[in-house]
Amino acid sequence: MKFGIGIPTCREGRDYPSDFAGPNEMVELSQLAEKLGIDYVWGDDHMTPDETLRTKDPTPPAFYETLLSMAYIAAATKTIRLGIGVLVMIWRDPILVAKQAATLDVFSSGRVTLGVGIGGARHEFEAVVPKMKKAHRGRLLDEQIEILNLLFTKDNVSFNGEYFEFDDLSLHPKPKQDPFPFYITAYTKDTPETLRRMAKWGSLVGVHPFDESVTNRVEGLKPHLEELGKDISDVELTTLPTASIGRTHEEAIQRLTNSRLFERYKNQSIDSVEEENFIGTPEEITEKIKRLEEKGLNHCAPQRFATNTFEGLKEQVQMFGEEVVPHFR
Amino acid sequence: MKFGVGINTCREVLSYPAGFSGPKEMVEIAQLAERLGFYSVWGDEHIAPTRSMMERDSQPPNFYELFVSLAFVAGSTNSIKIGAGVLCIPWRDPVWIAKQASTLDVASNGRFIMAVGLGALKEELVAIKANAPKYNRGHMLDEGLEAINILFSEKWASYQGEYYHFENVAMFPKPLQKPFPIFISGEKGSTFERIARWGSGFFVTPKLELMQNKIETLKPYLERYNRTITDVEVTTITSLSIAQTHEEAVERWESSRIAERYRLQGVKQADEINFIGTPNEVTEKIMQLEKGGLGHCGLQRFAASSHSEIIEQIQMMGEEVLPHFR
Repeated sequence: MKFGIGIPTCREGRDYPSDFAGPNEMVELSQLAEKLGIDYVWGDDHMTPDETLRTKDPTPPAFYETLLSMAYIAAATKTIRLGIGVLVMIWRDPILVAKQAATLDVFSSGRVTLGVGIGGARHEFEAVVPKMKKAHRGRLLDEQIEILNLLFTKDNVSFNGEYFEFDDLSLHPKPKQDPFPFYITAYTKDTPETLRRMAKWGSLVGVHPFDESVTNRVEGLKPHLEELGKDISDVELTTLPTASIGRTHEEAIQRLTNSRLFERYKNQSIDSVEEENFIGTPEEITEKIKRLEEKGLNHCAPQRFATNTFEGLKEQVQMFGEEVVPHFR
Repeated sequence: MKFGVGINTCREVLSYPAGFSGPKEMVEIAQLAERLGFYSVWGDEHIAPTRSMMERDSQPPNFYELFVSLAFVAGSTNSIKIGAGVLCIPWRDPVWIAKQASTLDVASNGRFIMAVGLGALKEELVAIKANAPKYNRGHMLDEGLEAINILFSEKWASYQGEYYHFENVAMFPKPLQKPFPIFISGEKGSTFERIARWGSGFFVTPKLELMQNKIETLKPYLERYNRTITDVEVTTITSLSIAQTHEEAVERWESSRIAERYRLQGVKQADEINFIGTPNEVTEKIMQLEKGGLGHCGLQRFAASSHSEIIEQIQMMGEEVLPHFR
């Protein structure tokens, strides 16, 4: 089992209050995770909050650009892997992303895992790239991943697609890692399109941390993997849920319900929130991960923790690193 | 006088042989320069080599992406300014540029200097954007500067131009530095208007007469914005060949990839627009330029066939030239 934690690149507003943590705290957290033997830090990606989020706290939420935050963290760490989970591609040019991701991979000595996705929030891409309002985001993403892969592996690349066109392009340096690992997920219901994308490109594929999600995704992926001459052991099933860790189960629940990120779940029962995330004592979470490991889960990385303070975040990361992770080593 | 050094983000083939140096060496230069009291470290930007550049050496040149390289260098240093020199605005969407620039400025604790320009070759823009033959890069730069300024200053930023369009973007964090330093690269046309309107600094060729001409041309533009020449930092982007004897410096220069490029371009008197000589000669020249208004001496390229030759020259600058300016 591999382990990761989320660092708060773009989590203010929705998951944590404004002024929660800046670059120095991200570095501190990454160094703590590295020291604890955690394999990955994961950053998320947003460009702008909507009006509700912007006015929630006295200061607006700060979203730090993910690739640059990771480059800054890379300089301050040695071994921990840098998960980009996920880079929203709709407002980025794939050629420049290829350039930045390859540069980051070389600077970090091959520590990058690049998640790419369509991004969740409609308000956000309509604000940043209004001209893409009518774009088919799935086909756009497929083109972009294909371009990334071509530029990472080949020279004199020409491309003529629905959204992108260029001729005879060779990017160097190539990423240090070959093959270069992509993380692909889909938060909505699986469709043949999303399953094919995950099977084709994902070295890491996302799942939710409950039996049914893992099983469904494994079964859904199998035929697509087969078609590509691969099998399920070729993908690392990865989960990036919420965690709320406490000394007692009650404390964990209390932390959850007192936290900013609980607003994510206001239309959900506590039971289902618990089922779909890591809520409880280190022992309970360890048990849950062991069960999911049997179903095929390979990588657990709580990307947000139920707390409103940076100290609280560090405390839970410490518990995760010291009391959960060692059971799998 | 402020001093800056260049790192090899995108200088292979044009200034150094391919495979010349990588991340480790860039960090080494930045850390050494910081220790020696240099003010700034600068990276440059290219996207992809042409076929002939691909074939110049036994391996293709590496062009490291500027923002990512600078963020890593920022994370490896404490006080030296981190310069993008220059960032090619037409390659990227301004919202993305603003987000990365403000992230870098905050992460580096207010050490980022962003010099912007069109990019040396239109071919590079065409290589990444098929429609680019129809684009006017000057207009893109003007729109980009305007858009970035709006994103850096407004709570809700909206922009509708010929090239760029966004609606209600709340760009936070804002850069830490206020005002945020933007340097303007370019020689012709609208460059002077851009410097006067947006520039905290601009670039000159380090030859007294040329530098003074540019300063004089700029002055009336600055007046229109109620600014004076003291509001903008006069900065060089130049090459250095320094050695203990003049002959050695010339020899180093003549055998360098940089001199080869000047010869190919038919540029004569390359020695007049670069720094070639002993520490004393280089000191003299910079003192002369200082009297003429130079404020920031950026040594972006070095006549060198190996990384250690660069280190040697930076060391010589730091120990034998910089002390004359304290």
